[in-house]
Amino acid sequence: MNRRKYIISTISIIAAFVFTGFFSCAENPQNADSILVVDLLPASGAITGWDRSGSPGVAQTNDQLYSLINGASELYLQHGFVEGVLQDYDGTIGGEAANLGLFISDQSSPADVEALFDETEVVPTGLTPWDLGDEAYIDETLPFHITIHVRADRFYTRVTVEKNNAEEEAKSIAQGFAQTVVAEIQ
Amino acid sequence: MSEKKQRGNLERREFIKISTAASLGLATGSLWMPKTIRAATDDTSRVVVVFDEQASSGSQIDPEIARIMLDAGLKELTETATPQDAWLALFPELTASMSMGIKIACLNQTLPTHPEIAYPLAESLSSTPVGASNYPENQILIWDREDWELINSGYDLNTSSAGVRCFGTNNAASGGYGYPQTIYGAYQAFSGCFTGHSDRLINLCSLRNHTISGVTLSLKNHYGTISSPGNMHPYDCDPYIPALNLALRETYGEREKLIVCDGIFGIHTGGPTGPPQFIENKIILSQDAVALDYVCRDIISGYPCTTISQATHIETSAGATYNLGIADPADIEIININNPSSTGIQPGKNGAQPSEISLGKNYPEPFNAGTAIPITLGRPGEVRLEIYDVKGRRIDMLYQGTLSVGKHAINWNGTGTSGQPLASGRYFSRLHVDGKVHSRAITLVR
Repeated sequence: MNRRKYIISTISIIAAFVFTGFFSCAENPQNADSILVVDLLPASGAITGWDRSGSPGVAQTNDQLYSLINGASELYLQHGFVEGVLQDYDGTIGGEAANLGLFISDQSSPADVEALFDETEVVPTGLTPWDLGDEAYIDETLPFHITIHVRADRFYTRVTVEKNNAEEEAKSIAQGFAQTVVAEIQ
Repeated sequence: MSEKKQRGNLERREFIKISTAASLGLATGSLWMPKTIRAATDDTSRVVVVFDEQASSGSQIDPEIARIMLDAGLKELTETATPQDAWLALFPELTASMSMGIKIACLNQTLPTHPEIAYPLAESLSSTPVGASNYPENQILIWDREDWELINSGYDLNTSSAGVRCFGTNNAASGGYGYPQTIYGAYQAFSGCFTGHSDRLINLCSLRNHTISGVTLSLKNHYGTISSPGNMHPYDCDPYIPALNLALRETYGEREKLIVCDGIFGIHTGGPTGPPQFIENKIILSQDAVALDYVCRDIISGYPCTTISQATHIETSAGATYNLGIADPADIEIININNPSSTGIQPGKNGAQPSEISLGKNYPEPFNAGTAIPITLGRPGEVRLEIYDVKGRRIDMLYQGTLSVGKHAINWNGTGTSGQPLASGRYFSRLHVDGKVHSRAITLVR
């Protein structure tokens, strides 16, 4: 009898784990630990009117990151860089053709990406805070572009889009991209 | 006795002559004009800074204005009457069979060397007569590392036998990278665009700070000439940058005779990548890459920039080990040209004579009690000589009025407008003449 109770208990526990795990996976099909940065890129049309331009540039080594973002790579490497992706998008702002650049990097851990975020060469001071992810800022000081910096979990995301004299529209588009990436991370 | 030592003695003797005569002149209330004074251009470098407020409108650059700026700068740099004369002064050995490379910087496609600057520069060069015809534009190659970087920066790839050529080192037309050699411990091969298509070279960089090397200007532009730039970044790239530039000179001779910085827009934080952060509307020209980088670093330092102190490679480049140019502000003559598009300075149209205007190096330098500032005029004109501090504040007005043709020296005793003694530090003499501003650094030591 005791033996039967033990077996039933064990089966119940295992079943509970399996059951819980199943629903957990159903809610979060992409476990944060297994996310690849390329999977975080919005597809063409995910933001209305914006399509990918060319193939994404992916970096998983120091040399590849250098090829992607040149000398700026050093700070990313200092703070746990795992992989990064750079993708251009084409759309319109203010009725004119515009380009948007999206860079996402996996920095190993939330602590690493937070340290990266503290680097003023990555996220300059004096930007406008924005409520997204763990921390986000909008750079509205640039003469021709809007840039958004976001950290969420262990990922750093930067969106840069041309303003084309339509600053609010450009900001809205950039925010849409940032929100889409963060939603995918979370 | 070494040549340098002899020059030093000569300068000292001349200074005594100048300062004595200047004192006499000031004492008698007249401006002293020495009969003989050695040209203040030996051991100095000239940097021409051309500003034009019409160079850009929003993010668009006007290539016609750029052409006017470039031609005005070329003439001033070489003290010639026409852009064509300027090109021949820069490249006196130029023939139609000689190739000319223009090394641009387009790794950052949101702020590359702009096509609106590079093509007018090529156009100006190809308007220069060499022998029976003009310099063939097909001998000009605009190049950088990769084709896709050039395309995304707005350039048209051209490997044909017509028009200005343009391709990257990864293009089969370049010949790829050569055999590697060791540069300060790093294996590097040189681009075929440089070794095989650039008998002479124009270094056309952009204006950006750099997270590692402090700034990325003309000296660092050659990181795009080598096969593995990534492994040349330790120690803030110092002395990798000077070592690379020296290796290019020692291996291939002094091909690089003109250095130009596209300073229409710039980056002061987070460079070399990212979008433009400031509008400068300037094109800077020199024959000395070190002096040009020194002046351009000063321009970036006028903005919030936390990496300026890392740019030690400029001073290292000027040091005895590398001896690539001048980084002593006292030996850099800066000539500012303002708004050439609206002041009637048109390329090859004004027939102007060589300006022959120079603001010489002060004697002594540094100074304590007094120093003489030499001025040379090729024609009589209204001049104004002022002293500024490093914050851009005018400290004193030394002279305002007409000066005749010839050489002059004006004394400054290190005081401000009201005669108060000034603190030790760096100041600038600024000579305004013919709508241009010439500037030099002066060091006061108390």
